[in-house]
Amino acid sequence: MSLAPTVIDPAVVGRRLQLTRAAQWFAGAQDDPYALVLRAETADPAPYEERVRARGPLFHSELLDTWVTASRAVADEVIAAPAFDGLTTDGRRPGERQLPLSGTALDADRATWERLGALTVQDGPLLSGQHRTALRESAGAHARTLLDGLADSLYADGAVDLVDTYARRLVARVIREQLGVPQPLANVFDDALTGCRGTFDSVLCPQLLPDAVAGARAEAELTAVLSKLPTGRDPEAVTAARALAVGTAEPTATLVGNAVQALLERPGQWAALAQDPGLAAAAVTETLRAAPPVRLEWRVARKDTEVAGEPVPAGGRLVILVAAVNRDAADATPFDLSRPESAPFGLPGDLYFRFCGPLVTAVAEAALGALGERFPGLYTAGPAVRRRRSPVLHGYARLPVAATRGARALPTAAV
Amino acid sequence: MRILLTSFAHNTHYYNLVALGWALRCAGHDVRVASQPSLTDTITASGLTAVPVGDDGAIIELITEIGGDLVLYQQGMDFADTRDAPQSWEHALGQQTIMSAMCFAPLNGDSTIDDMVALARSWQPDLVLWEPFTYAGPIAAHACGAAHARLLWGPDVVLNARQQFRRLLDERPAGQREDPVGEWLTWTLERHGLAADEDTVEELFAGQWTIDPSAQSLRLPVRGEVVPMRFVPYNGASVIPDWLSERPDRPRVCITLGVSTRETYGGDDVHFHELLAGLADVDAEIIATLDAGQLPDAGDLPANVRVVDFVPLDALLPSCAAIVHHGGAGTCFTATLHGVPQIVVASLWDAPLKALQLAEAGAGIALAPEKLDVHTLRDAVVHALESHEMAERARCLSEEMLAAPTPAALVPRLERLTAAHRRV
Repeated sequence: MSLAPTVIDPAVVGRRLQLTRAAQWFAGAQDDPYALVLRAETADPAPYEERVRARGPLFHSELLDTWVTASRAVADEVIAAPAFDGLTTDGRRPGERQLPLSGTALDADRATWERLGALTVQDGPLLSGQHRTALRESAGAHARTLLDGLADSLYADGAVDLVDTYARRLVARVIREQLGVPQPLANVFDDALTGCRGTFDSVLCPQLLPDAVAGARAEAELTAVLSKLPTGRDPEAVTAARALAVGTAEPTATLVGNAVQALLERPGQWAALAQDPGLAAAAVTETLRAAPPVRLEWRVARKDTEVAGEPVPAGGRLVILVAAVNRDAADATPFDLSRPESAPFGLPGDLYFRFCGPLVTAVAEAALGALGERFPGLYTAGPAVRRRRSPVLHGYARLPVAATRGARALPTAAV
Repeated sequence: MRILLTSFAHNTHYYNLVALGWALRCAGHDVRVASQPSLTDTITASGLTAVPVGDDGAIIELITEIGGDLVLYQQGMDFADTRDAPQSWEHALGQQTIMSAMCFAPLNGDSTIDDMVALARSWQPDLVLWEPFTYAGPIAAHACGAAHARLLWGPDVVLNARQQFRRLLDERPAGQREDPVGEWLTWTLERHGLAADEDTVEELFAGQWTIDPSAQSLRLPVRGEVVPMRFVPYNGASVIPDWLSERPDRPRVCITLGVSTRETYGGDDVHFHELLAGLADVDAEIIATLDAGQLPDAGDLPANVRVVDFVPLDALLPSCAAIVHHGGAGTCFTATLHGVPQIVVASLWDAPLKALQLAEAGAGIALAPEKLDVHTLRDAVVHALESHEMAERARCLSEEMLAAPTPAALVPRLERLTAAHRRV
């Protein structure tokens, strides 16, 4: 198969990616707090996010040509404002020249997403009413099957990577089922989907050259697989299916990982979930608030506009610091499963999360419920490692866990 | 032997290679100098043979990208404070990121490396001697099996930072490792069908050995074979002016602050002629080297100041009791060689470290650019002129440099090293 990256000179792309990264480092050295968020070299980006907040409701990073907010009011306003969208009026992503080979699966504007939303499954709009219940049940069944296969390793204290062996596999199975990917294509599909895990990050942060090349190849593979489906003759259906897959997979895997880590870190929380798997929905909501899987949402101004009293010109890029936005509340507290219902900023439904968001939360709920039910003695079996160059998702390189037989979770090591 | 010298196209970076190039030539070796075409006239003016390679495209692309102000991008490089202490991972990675993207890759554009590799494969040099930013040299040497060595023009901050970075990199968990310079060298080698394992990357980065003209006590504690060599200045085409033949009747002070000084240092409110006016009552003859654009109105100049456009420092400095400079490589080496106390107003690259080292050695004074004004400069000059101890310490550093073998005396050792490292 002929894939775009093979005709690109890697030295040219690599140099461009390194220059963009150097500009982010340089801006960070100049105390630009958004640059420090993008550098993502620390385990906890919250202190850098708070430095953005300290600069006012809308911080303009001149060096990186981006407006950045940690304010809930501003974030809500931007998501609702017609002036902001997913792409410029001429269909471009701001800064795309600086980020060659970045993922394109989620590039479209609101009008397009509205149209594509209807094409995400063969039968029409996804996840309405009854469909959602059925989906959760089927996801739960897949989860239990996967966990059966993992039980020996988990009990053997073998430090199983929960994200790779469980969360990513589960979400891939569910997506395959939703899209009707036949079994012979399952492995190719799963590999391509995993290969696209850098998509979210690659649009704001340059990836290492081998990762950027692999990501572009994986995206092309995924397109090729989806083109072989019965719906594959319609390019819009392929685009919609690809967006559903890419927009759902890694955010779900990260959400599950974040939730498990948060529950295990706090005494009694995992045990509570294990006793009442019905708490999985609350765990997902609380994770979306306290440890959101997508930490940076970006939009582009389609025309000259004003936000929080500041002019943002047409073509200007605005980034929402989702975790910081969630902390922008009087009752912002650390993760707590028993917290009364909150309404986190979450996965905003104006673009692809319009149809990916419900799938993300449904699969995550099923994953957590099944895991708690089956392994009440789950514990972290080593330090969780987050990928670098991942300021958007803070995606996992690995999350090692193991389990004791029995109902009581052991005290967990701080990670 | 066939010996290929190489420096990216910058005259003073090339000047540092000239004396050794001639020493090898005079020992009967075949010597050629490869650089981008814009250096050809400078090479031929030095009497050596030029081979133009590549073009200046990559550096022009970089300058276009960042709006021309490379000085800005030096901020955060900071080789002085991190000389001994292990840096944080974040700082070390940032340094490697900026060095790779803003320095090594653009100074060694693809076309330059392509041509250099082709030249090495056809001419088959036995040894490649390279200016420390000019990685096209070791890459080409690796491609043809030649031995290769760096010739330093200052403290080895690049390798010191690299070795600190490598230590911290090895401590990173899998999944969080990243090596921008290694990444760049890897894809560059792969373009030429060469494999890039970790050892190869480190050898290309450091050279098989390092020729170091620095005073021994000012060398950084880097690992690897260091070959000391006496610094022999080359100032380009040089003519001795009449006034220099006369003995000065009072102490002589040279001031040379570089073109960027007036624009960058001391804020907008300090002008060069004000700095010079502040030295009017100092009992010294001030030699200020300025280019036409820096020349103040003659009426502004105190009587004890002589303004010259260019004078070879190697000829001027033996008659000087002190020098004020910006920490440039040739200036610093030449002043140290001649045992002149140095007042260093430094901001670029390794210059702040050199200023610090000289101050620590008691042979100079470090003046932060942002603190440079009429009074700090005058005080420093007066102190340098009055301090016998500083003059003595400067003489000690000079003796250290003179103790190293001259380029001519070094040739047999280079022949042996080449034979030991060459793969063909």
